[in-house]
Amino acid sequence: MKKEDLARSFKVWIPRIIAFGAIFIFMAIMEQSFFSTSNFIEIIRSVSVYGVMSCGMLFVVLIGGLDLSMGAMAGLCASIMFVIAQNGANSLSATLLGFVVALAVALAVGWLHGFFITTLKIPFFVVTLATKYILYGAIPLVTAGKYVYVRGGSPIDKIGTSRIFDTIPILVVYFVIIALVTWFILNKTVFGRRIYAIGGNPTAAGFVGIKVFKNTNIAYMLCTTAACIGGVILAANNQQAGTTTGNAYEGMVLMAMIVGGINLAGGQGTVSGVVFGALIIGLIQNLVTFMSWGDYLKLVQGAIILIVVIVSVVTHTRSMRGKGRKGRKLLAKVKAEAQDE
Amino acid sequence: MRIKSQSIRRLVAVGLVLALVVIFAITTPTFFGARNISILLKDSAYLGLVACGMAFPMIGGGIDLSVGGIVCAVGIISVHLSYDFGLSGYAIIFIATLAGAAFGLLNGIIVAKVGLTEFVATLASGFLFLGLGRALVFKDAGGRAVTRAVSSESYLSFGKNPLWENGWYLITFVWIVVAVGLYIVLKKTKFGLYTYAIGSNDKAAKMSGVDTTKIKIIGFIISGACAGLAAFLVTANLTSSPAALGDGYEFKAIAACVVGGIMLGGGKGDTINALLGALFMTIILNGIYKFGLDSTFVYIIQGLIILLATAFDSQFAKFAAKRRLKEQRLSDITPASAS
Repeated sequence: MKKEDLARSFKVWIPRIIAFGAIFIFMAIMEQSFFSTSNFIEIIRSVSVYGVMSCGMLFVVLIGGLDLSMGAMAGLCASIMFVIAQNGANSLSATLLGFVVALAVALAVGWLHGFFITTLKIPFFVVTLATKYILYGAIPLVTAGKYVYVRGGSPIDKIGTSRIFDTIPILVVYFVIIALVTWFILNKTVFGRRIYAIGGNPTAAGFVGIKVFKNTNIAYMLCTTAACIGGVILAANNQQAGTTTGNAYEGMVLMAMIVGGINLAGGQGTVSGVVFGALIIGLIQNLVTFMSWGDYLKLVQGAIILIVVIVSVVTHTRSMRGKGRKGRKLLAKVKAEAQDE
Repeated sequence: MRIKSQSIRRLVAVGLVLALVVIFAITTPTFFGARNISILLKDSAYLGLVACGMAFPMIGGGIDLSVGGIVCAVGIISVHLSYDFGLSGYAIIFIATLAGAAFGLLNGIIVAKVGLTEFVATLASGFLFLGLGRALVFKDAGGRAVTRAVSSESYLSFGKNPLWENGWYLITFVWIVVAVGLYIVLKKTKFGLYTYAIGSNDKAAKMSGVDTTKIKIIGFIISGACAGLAAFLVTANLTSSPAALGDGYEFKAIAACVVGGIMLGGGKGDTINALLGALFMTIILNGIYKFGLDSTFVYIIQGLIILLATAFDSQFAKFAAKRRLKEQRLSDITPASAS
């Protein structure tokens, strides 16, 4: 049993390490200043923000949904918090109040997502696309169309730019905590099991007594919570919040999901996959920024998502039809079982 | 006499458009001016063309989130063809439509042949097309994006000026012709019938011998071709292709279709619904600017429209189902009491 587990984790991790290594080497060749401390800190920073948001998205993707409003949600939450903190003269209590209000807005939007998707039975991509535009439009209303800045030394600044041992950005701590919490919820709680069950087969999950509506609502609320946290730490790190905060991050988060091997149809995916996906996305983001390939970012995103999803779908259908190495094994197993009977 | 639920839904859409027209006619005295009407019809034609194409995947039970990307990519390709290669507008209009159709074909193959979910496939291909459009933007020697204006006479004749003074633009007529043509295709051809069949029940259609793969691919091709045609006509009107062209078009087109009465689940509605929806969206967005509201409200109102319209539709579907059940019961009782 133990040996099998080991073999399985080898099978999952070896391709991941190879992919990571390949991109790493590619970047080391392309970028002259790749091995500088400041660049590594830059990478850790973007990995952390993507990672936090991806952990939230994981819940929603596991139940077979998707939240396209994540980027806008992040921007709005950051803006709300910054504005409240600034009106309270950047005191600690005002900052905390700002965070609580931002979190409340995030939870309310998450609940609304769940309500529209489960009770009114509207497809999730339409609902979250609509809320994406609403939230995006609400950001200038909150910030009065300007960017909100924070000065150094204020509590928000400490949240975003503190360093551990004066080198490692504190953002990575948030990422590690959120990843551990997500792992715990998904693997050690009943709620986590229910999430996997709903994603695998919602009808069957309903039949065994799982409250599909309630758990879907909670999953969407967890997702917006993660978007809120991600947006806040991103803005705190940049020391500014406004319309461009978190803009179009949902595309990158979606890419992290797909690279991390999370099945968009739901029911399959692990936190380790998300962490790996966030690492790869952080590297790619760094490469794009460094080479100033901003124009081609969307192109790369679309191509990677399409290629990975197509390959996974094609291999899956092939193995279901008994073709390929995996498929032949499956076919032999089915045949053996039939003979036993 | 029994009125079809679908007709009620269309009357609701007509009522919404009329209500908007009345509101704006009262509040803004210039609303019925010839110039305002012509500009309104021009603006709704761009959206309307895209929405009419989008109607096909939506009636077939799917969605096409890549039309914004297609508009962006085809728009810049058209300008390149005119600026770099000096092709005439008459050639480019065909190439643009074909390019859009080719993008649609790619979508169709990924969705119907390979078997990806519609929204994942078209979301990703939308990124791809949008990225292609951004990558093709004109650059100066320093690598910065610059705008290049089209100067070809034949190109600009397709959209720069109205056909007569203060009159309608050519695109308005193109839109009406396309909408009516596609309406006939939907209602009078085998392909149209099969599209409704797929939208109502994909599995049943397949078991009855409908080639669902082919029908789906053709639906995406129509959607792409309409977006390509719209992209060409937009650039002909603007005389250039801005980098942000097509951004959010898929969202506006979905909003138009949903408000007009094409249900998200598929199998309901036609291009006339899309036409009404596009009119509604354009009048309301036009009105936001007229009232001097901030442009950020455009996003909020679009989002709210989609949420409200889909919520209404989901309740309306329940109402229609109840009504059908009641009628069925009545018709079950009536012959018995007669005999």
